[in-house]
Amino acid sequence: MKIDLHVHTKNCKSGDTKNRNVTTDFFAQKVKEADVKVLAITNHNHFDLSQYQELRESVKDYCDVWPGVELDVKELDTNIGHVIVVVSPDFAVKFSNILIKKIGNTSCDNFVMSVTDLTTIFNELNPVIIPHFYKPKSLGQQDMARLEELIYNRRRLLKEPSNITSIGVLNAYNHKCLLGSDVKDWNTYEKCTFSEFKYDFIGFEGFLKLLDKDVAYITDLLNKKFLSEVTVYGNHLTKEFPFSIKVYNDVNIIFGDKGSGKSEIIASLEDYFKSSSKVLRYSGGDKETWFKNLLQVDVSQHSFVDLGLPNDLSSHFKFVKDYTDEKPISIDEYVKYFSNESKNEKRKCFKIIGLEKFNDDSIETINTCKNEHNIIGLFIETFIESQIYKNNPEKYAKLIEELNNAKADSYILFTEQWIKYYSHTLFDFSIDIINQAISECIGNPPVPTTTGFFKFASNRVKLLKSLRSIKGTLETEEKTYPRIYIGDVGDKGSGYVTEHLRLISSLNVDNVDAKYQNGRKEKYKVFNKSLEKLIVNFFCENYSQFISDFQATITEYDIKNIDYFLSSEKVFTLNNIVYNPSRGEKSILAMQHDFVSKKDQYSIFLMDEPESGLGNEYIEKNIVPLIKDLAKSGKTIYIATHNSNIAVRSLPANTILKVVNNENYSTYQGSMFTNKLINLEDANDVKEWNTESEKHLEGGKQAFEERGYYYGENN
Amino acid sequence: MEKIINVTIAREDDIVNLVFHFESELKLNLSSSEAKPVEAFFQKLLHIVFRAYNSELQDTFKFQLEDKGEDLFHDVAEKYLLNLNSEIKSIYSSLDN
Repeated sequence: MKIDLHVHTKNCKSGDTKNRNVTTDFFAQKVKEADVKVLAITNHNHFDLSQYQELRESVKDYCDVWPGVELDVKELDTNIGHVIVVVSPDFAVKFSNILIKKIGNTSCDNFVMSVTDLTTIFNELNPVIIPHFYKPKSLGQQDMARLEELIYNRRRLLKEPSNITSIGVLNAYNHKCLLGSDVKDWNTYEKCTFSEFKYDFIGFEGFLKLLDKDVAYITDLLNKKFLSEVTVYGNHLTKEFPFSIKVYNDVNIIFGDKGSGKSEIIASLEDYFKSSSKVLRYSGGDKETWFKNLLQVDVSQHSFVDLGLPNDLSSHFKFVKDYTDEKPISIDEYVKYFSNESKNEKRKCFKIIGLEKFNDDSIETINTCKNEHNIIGLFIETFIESQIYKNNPEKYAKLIEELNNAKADSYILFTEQWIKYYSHTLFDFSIDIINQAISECIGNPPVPTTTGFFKFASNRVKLLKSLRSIKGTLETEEKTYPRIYIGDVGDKGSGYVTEHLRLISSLNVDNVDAKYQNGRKEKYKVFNKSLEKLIVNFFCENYSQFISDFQATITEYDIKNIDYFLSSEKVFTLNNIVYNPSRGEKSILAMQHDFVSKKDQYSIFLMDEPESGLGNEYIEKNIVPLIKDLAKSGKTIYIATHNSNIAVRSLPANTILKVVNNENYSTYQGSMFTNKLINLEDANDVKEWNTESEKHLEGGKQAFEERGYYYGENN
Repeated sequence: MEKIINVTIAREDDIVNLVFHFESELKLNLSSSEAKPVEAFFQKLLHIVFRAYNSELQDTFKFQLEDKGEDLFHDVAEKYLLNLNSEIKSIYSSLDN
């Protein structure tokens, strides 16, 4: 939940901008837009009780507004520092009275309070005190030391740094920090950076309990996220060295010594959960293989159907492969018949054998008519079952009538074609049969009723049609699948993977990269060249040789259908241009792809050093929010890490510390919220979360201090 | 448009050819029983038929025997051309499809 304990609603001091003034309605609108759940009104040296009450009322359904003030404070140092004081809404009136009494008629510009007064006059109200820290208008060192010394409860002292970058460092060094918006312009309030609390505390008292690290309160909050206790192993393969750890339906962190078994815990958890849940395991590091696999294609997963083709042309390939020319009728047949003509007088009585044959070759037309009839019938059935028809059958009655007429007409056409073809065939057959019968009776050769030209020519025409069909299909336009989002490459843009599916033909065999041609580039070239030759040289004298060569190619390459020519290619693009990401960019993409794109597919996310190969800025801006988002989505996340940003800023509900000491392995479990890590084998052996995280994640106190000073000087 | 193509019989010693008088002559050996020459003849004939039918005028052919002989080859040629005409007619439907 978002919390903002540094909000201005009035332009009080002369240096304040006018845009700090806000009307009640605009305040309500902007707070809702920003989705802030807790807010404190902290105008400079001024508290307007009636405005506070009005604003609190206006957002009461979605935000809890607390009374507060930002005071100018100075006592021992020369510079004035700003200190925020926030109290419970229950004490709003008392708070107002105290301030009225203390400030009196002094203007906001001139009022200054001492540290001593600050730490006494509000004590009965259990205030939360938040001085500026390592930012403009910070208290001087002496005043800060005095504040820390005199405050009624150190746990109620928070510090406000200049930006969110500093918080991780300062928090771990026992400076409890909280960022406020210090809103200067209400028009852009929702764009401010807010502190976020992991758990929804209730009211000012709940907030105080969190600050006080009230173990019972915190434990209660944490236990709402408890999932199960799981046995893991020091060696997950052999199942040796078992121990139990808690798993929370939230972020769980493992850090500790190198070689202490962090990865074994991750592996054990994967073994445990994979049978019952969808588990995604992610390991940081080099993502070259991942990227290669991302662009891996498996053309066997595709077929002609994916290109919208009605069939795979297997019948055409078979026809071509098995093709042989129909042999002509020898002239000899004619010579033999006429040589015995004197004996053919009786034959001449059978006029039928002298009639012209039909040579009807229209069987395909019949099949086409039949298919059309079926298609029309199927469409009518489907349409009558559709919702659009059922909603208004009267509107479509005429259409149904017309379709039924078309169906009837197509049936008539089909039967006409059928009758015509089979009557022709029967007629031709009759001529042959009678001719043969006569020959057998009179012992003479039958009269030749054909030259063989029709069969030869029609067969050749069928061959040409098949060849053209194959060629035309091969030249089918490439299909591009909808691109798949992988992730953003920083500010460079969004990366996508796009798959292209095509058939390799003479048009593209030289343009498509050989690696996408299934190791068949030469074969595709030979085939397409032969195919072209066959079509172009259809009337050549040695055409039979071309056919043989082509058939040999089909046989040698074992080509059965058009799927042989399928080629699939995947490319990665950035801003619609093919792009090859750097190693670091691949790591960034891999993480986004797994955690963002696949978020809905998995319930358990196991990460092993996800920070490998990534810069801290990227981790903070992208990885930590991603992890928090997964947790908010109800996912269970277990992360083994050496990175402080991940371990700390993800606000893990549960922390595991692994320690190795002279080959003795110890496991501690606890939480940053209780600041305790307890040895699983000895409940009396307790470490401080802050100290251990500083040691294992920050490189130790000295390194941390040096960084802390660096941050302080720059901010 | 239907074109009538004259066909004659050329009798030269032992070889008798059926000569089709297209723009360039096409010959079929009537005195040979081998299949290859007939295949070659079919190949060339198919080319002529195909080209003519695919032209703008969509020309079709009918063969007419111009021969006054009364021998065996005359009878053979007569019958052969009768069958060939019938088959060529059928081929045109096939080309349409």
